Amino acid sequence: MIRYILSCTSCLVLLLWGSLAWSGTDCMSCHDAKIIAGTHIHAPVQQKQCVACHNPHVAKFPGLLSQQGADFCYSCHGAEEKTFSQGWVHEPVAQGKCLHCHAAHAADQPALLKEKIATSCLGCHEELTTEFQVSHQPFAQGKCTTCHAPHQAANQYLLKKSADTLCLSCHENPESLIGHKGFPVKVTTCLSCHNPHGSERPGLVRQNLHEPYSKDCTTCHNVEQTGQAELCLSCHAPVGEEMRAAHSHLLPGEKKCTRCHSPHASDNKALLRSPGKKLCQSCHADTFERAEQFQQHHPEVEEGCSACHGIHGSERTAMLLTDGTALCSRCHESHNTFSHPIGAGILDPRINQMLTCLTCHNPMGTDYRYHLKLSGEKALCMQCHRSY
Amino acid sequence: MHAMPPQLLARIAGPFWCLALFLCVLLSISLSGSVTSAWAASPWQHVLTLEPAVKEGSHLMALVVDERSERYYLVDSNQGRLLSFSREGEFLQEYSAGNDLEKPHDMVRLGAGQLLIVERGRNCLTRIDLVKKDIKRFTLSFQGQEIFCDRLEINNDQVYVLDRATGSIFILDQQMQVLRQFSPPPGSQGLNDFKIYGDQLWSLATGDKWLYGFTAQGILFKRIDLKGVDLDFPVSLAIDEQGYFFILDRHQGKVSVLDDKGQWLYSFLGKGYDLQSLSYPHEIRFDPWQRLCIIDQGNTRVQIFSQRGK
Repeated sequence: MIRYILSCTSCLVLLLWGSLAWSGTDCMSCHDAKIIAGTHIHAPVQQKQCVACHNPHVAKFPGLLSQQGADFCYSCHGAEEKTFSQGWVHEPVAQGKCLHCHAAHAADQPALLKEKIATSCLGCHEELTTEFQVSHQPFAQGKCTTCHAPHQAANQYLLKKSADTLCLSCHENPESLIGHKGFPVKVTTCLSCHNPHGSERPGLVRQNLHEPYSKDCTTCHNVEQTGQAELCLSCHAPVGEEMRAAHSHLLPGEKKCTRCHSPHASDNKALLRSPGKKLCQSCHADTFERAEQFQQHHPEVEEGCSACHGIHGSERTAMLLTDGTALCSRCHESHNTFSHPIGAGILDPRINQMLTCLTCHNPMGTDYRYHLKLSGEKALCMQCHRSY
Repeated sequence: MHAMPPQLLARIAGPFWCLALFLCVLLSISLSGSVTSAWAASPWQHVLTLEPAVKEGSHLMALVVDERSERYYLVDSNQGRLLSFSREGEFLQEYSAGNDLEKPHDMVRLGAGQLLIVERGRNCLTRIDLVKKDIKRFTLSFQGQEIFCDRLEINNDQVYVLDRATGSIFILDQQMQVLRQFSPPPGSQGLNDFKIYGDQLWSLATGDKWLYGFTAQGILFKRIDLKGVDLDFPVSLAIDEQGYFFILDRHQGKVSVLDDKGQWLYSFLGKGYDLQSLSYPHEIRFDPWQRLCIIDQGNTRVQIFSQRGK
């Protein structure tokens, strides 16, 4: 008791004797000064206004904070709140995790970054290759923010400007470059051929080349005017067959195959414009947003979405490659035999349709363990076994 | 007249006021629009289900209604067959043209015992004369490019076909030659469904989330932005007698209703298995009796709804 009285008194005396405001000096008489050490200091800390964020007595949140998350930061940085919700938003920003990158008190990096910008970025973006035979200068120097906006942007990949505008802001007059001499068309869509981070090929040309691109541009360009899909399918006929399925990814509009595939070069063997999941997300954002809201997700597989979905076409709903049971049992082999009866002749009484793994499980995400659609304790079973 | 004792009055009035308060809360919630669940707002009730006797292997792609014969026709893509039902929902017969239909995708009745079917597997329009038992296939092209046939409609004996490749709609003559084109505006990702309403053609662009209205001459006269409506993957549209739009959302399994100016009114149904739920619905249309028909593809059935009180 005496300890508490002394403790309270020491603060109160300082308060009354001092500036009649809680000040950092008072707090730091107990707290280690290391927590506010750094070349860049947050303004309230610099002004010794610890109480701007912390309550000296009691608070709802850890660290005696009166609020938590981005809303707390936005209470001062209000202007950013609106901006940070527009266009493509960086995941930690969307989740309100400002402190993922920024320090609350002080840091040795500008903008109160906890680490150097590249270290901070690569700490999450582990999928990025960092060692190349040929590296793009800003990437090699760790200057991610030369091209990317860290919070939000109007362009995918948080690019500060459209990809071509961004490239041409440094690489003016690309027609004059050796690699572009004699091009049959205007030099455009730089990222269709070049990897902006690095490559094993000179000129940052991506790793996998479309065969005609590596031989003769006129194989595709300057040929008699024809539809893009027809041009591609004249070589890739089996894909045309897949496109004739009930559900097809033959997309209307000028760009068809090239909406997903680069006609020139890619880091992906299927010449995809970006890694599978990101590519699918560019059109099916709602599917990914919905999945993120769930607690239980199927672990990611190497092939991405195409592990389960027929990317060009499918005869099934959700463009699945095959029926729900055959699909799952490719990996979950034993479940095909020991689980609840499934397959031909076993009907879901709700809709008189064959029971498959997908009758009870949703691998895209649910709030229940084993990706069950409802609680496995009772609710799910009662859907069919009502008399129990 | 004797005054009622205060204790008795309190005993009677207590439950009454509780009930009144409860009703007021319910009323205020529903009026405030904060509750948009199907049961609270929908004036639609389920009246009929059309479904194949054996669902395994079936995949329903289209519904056609013939007012004269009062029949519904379902196009089953995977089984390569057409199923007919009476207006009351009784299964009548199935037709597969001697197992010669490759992934039928949509269909219209041409009259005089003729059917016109989109065969996705062959990418052609197939005209079947049921009387003469004659089949003729047409591969369509426009300006040297193959038309990738998708959805079909017929109006005043003119056939309209949606081209999946260009995202345009074409009107065809008797020889299946293109008479007129309805093009999506430049920059659009293309049209994915359409319905004819009087002398107008209304189309839905899934990727862009827009409704486009065209005159009979193919001139774009009105656009309605759907981005403000809670839609994930709008796949089909229907228009009722008042000119209200019914937009079917495949991913959410629900129908959103907009007035003729594009103002959202209400949404109903949802994802699931019961009679008020849909799983990967594919197409929505009104039948000639103003009943709302939805191809509930994931549940392999067609759900038919009528307006309450009608």
